[in-house]
Amino acid sequence: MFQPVLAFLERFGNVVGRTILSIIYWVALTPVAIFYKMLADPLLTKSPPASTYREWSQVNDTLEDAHQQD
Amino acid sequence: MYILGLSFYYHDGSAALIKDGVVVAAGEEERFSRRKHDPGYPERAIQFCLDHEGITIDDVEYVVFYEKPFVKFERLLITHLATFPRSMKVFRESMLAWMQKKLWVKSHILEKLKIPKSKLLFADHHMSHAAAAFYSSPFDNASILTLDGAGEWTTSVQAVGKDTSIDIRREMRFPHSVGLLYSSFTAYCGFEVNEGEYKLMGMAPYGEPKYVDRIKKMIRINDDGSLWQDMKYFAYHFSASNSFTPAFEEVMGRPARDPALGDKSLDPFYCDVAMSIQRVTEEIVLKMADHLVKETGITELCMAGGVALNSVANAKIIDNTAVTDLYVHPAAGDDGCAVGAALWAYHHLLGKPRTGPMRHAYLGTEYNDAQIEEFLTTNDIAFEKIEDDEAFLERVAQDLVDGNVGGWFRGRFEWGPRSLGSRSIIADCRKEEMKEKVNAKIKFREAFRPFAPSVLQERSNEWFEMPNNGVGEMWPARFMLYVVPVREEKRVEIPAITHVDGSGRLQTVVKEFNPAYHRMIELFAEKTGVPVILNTSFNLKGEPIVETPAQAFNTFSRSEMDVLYLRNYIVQKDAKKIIDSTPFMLRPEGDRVAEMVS
Repeated sequence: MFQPVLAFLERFGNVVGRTILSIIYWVALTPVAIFYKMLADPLLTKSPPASTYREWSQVNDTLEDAHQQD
Repeated sequence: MYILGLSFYYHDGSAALIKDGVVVAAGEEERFSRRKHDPGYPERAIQFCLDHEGITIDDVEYVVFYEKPFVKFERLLITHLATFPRSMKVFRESMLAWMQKKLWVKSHILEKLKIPKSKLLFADHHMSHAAAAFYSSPFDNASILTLDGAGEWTTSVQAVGKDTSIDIRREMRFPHSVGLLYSSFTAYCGFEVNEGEYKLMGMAPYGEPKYVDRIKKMIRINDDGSLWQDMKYFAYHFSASNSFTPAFEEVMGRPARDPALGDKSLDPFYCDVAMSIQRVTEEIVLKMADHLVKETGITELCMAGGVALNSVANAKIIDNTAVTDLYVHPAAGDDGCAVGAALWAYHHLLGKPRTGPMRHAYLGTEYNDAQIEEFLTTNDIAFEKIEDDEAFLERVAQDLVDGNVGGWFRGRFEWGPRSLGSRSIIADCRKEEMKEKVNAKIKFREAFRPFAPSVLQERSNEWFEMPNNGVGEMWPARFMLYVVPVREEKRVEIPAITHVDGSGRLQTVVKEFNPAYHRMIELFAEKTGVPVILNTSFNLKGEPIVETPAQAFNTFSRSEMDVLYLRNYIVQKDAKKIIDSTPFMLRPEGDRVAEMVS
């Protein structure tokens, strides 16, 4: 008896989740994205550089660093 | 000291256990869950690793996750901003996945394993690849190249390994990625991403590299091998379902091949495209490798990452660059990161000494005679057992000579995507019709896909044009990671494993690590003069490779294999039936683009 209810709730939750995320995208991301796109090119899409290699910047050489997720 | 490495929530969830720096057990979750490329938390694989050593999680010093989840999340957010407003759909899909699972990796692991926070470590994705390749290699010092679709931000690194430490010099970042470039063409040619790349590689020899120039209109390959992609042709950074844009199809001159065609048509145009992207990939890999070893002055090279499974490119490295020796980790994809993360913690973080190379890939579960016999008798399956190994192997070799196709189940299953003589379907490669029989009636897969040869290592150079003329250990060939030409005069003798361009993706069989398989091929050679057999993975299309005797028996029963060898137990085809209690699932399709990059 609970299975159909759970399945319905899962679907309902997904629909609600998607709706909320769409709202966040259009309301919260829009102003940031407009300025961000004007000022930055983090994906190197605009012009080809002589090399797309860049210096490795991650620091993860100690146990303390390794406990972090970033 | 035990360290457990984990890789999951992307594809090919895996676990690996090292003991004092030696990999003692490793396995992909798909082997246990029976869901191909299972990305989920590798609960069963972890349990197998612990059981293998007879320990509990309390005996494990550290658990190491293979990447930094927050860095990847940052990449997704920045990509969504940079591709606004086209990224709306992919934002919604990827955020749902991240909110539900991927952001909570740390708490999931702590909750599931019930370990203190202090035991949980996070490696960088490409450091895990680099560590898998370098620390399992035979080299004290080596140049290291990793290449895959995308890690956190990184899509490729160039590094130097010296004794216990790895120094990553530079990285290439998303969306510029050799792996994603290749996957875009996989999708364009009508195959599933993260699944159909092998098919594209198998299709390439049917074509000519006619469209290299068209591909190069969309990318730039720099002198150092680094790649820049003109993103107006690609869509994987903002689309949930497409890898490329209409502009891509315009440049290529034809619309994408309909995925519904499967293998029903081998349109020469798409074969030419497959060969063209293969050539471009090789050019990039060779340039990167050459530039790296010339810069470091260390000509031994270690490679990992999904692109390192491109066995055609691998085989060209030694003869076409300054590289003098090459090691490719057997599980070069993200599954191998479980091993890499654990080895990285042991050597790089803790500074513990090296313990020698990983000489073989037999790291999975194993079943003994009692377990096999119990399965057969419980299920009332008729069998014959030949106690004497030599007599048994003689019988197998004779069966192959007589034209039978056999399922070979013996020893610990292989680490990585390739069957290397523990869970293999084997046949006589002298008979041309074997290729069609195994493709159509046993594996139910694309007719154009080639089969691999297993060859005695000591005789491999007689039959194949090995890199460096067969001198050295030829490590990648042990793990079936070289595609090389079959010697011209031998091609007519082994047609079932000779691809249309005269090549073969060989596995060299080393006596020390798989003596029964080696001896069986030796006996086959005594009867036929040919030290080569056909070897393909023991599964059906879309099914993970079998793990247990029951799964082996079920797959045997669902195909037209003639005979099954469960260690020294022989089951004939008239005993076939389906054991309903054994799970059997086929994966109908590959990953969606959103899953590919997030």
